[in-house]
Amino acid sequence: MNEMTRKQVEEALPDYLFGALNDSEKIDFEQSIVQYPDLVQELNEAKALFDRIEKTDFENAVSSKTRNMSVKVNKKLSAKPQRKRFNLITRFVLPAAAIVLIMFYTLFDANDSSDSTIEMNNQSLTSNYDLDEIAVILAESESDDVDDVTMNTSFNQINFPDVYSDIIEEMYYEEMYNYIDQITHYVGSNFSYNNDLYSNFETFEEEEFQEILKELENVGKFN
Amino acid sequence: MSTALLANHIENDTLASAEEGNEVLNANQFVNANKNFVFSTALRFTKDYDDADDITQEVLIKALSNLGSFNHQSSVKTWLYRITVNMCLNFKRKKSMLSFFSNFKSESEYDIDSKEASAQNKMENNELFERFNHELTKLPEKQRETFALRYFHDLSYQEISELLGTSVGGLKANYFQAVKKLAQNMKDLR
Repeated sequence: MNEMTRKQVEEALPDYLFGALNDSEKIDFEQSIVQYPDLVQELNEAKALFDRIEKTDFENAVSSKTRNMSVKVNKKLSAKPQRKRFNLITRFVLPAAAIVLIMFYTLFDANDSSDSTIEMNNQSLTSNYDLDEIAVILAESESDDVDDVTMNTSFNQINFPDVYSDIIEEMYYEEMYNYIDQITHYVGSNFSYNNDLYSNFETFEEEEFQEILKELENVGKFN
Repeated sequence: MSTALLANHIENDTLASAEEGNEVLNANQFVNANKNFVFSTALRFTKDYDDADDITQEVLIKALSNLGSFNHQSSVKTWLYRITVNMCLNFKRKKSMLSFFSNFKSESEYDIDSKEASAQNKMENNELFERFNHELTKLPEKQRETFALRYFHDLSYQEISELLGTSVGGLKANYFQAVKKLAQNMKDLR
C-alpha cells in the first residue's frame, strides 16, 4: 500500500467519488483518508449530494434543449454562403469602396475643377475671339514700349461681340473719369500752391523780395 | 466538405458510409454527437439558454465548415471546446458593448437567475438540473470548467490541462474545491 498525503487524498477525492480510480488507487485512497476525519466528512457530504444526481439526468435535460439543433444547423448551413458573401460585401467591401471614392474625389477635386474652369474659359475665349487677335493683344500687352495709342488702336480693331460692348464702354468711361479726376486734382493742388505763394508775399521782407526779382531777371537773361 | 474527412472526426464511430450523398446525414450525426457538449459549455459561459443555443449553432457550423483545417493533434472535443469558449468570449464582449450603449435590458435579465423562474414553470422535472447549473455557474471559472469537463464530459486531466493551461496537480485541486463547494452550497437538497 502506498500511503497518500493529505494533498493527494484531496486530489483523489472527486475521482474516488465518481468511480474514476482504478482498484489499487481505490485501496490506497480508502486506507489513507481515514487519517483525515474532516476529509471523510466532506466525502460523505459530497456523496449524499451526488447520489441524488445522476449524470444521465443532466444529459437528458441538455438533450431536451438541443433536440432541434440538427435542423437549425442544417438550415443555417444551407443559407450560410449567401449570408457570408453578403456580410463580407456590406461590412468591408462597400465601406472600403466608399472611403476610396471619397479620398479620390477629395484629392483630385481641386485640380479637376481648376482645370475644368480654365478649359471652360479657353473655350469661351476662343469661341468669341479670333486667335490672331488674341495673340496680338497678348504680344502688345507683354511689350513694355507699347504706347496707349497703339494699344487702344489694336483693342479697337477687335470685333467684340455685342454682349461685351456695354461693359467695354463702361470701362472706357470709367477710365476717362479717372483721368479727369487726376487732372482736376493736379490743377487744384497747383492753384492752392499759388494761393499759398501769394499769401506768403505779404510776409516777405524787402530784401527777400529784391532777391526774388533778381532771380527772375537772371532767368529772363538766361532764356 | 468530404464525407470521408468528416467521418474521421466524428466520435463514437456512428457515421454512415462515406458517400457523397450522405453529407447531410453525416453532418447531422456530427451535430448530434457534439451538440450537448457544446451547448452545456456555452451555457456555463453565457448563463443563458437562448444565447447558448445560438452559440451552439454557430460553433457547429464553424466546425463543419472548417473540418478540413482541423489537425489531429487534439481530439474533436478539445477543438470544439476552444471554438466554443472563444465564441462565448466574443459574444459576451459584444453583448457588454451593446448593453453599454442601450439600456433596454440590464445584464441581470439575461442571466440564469431570471431564466430559472420561467424554467421551473416549464420544466418542473428539471428543477435539480437548474439548481445545480446555477450553483455551478457561481464557481470560479477554472474550478467550474475543470469540474464540468471532468464530470460531465469525461475528459482526461491531460486534455483539460491543454485546454485550460493548468497543471494536472492544479486541476485536481480545482476539482476537489469544486466538489466541496457544490456539496456545501447544496446542503438543503441532500
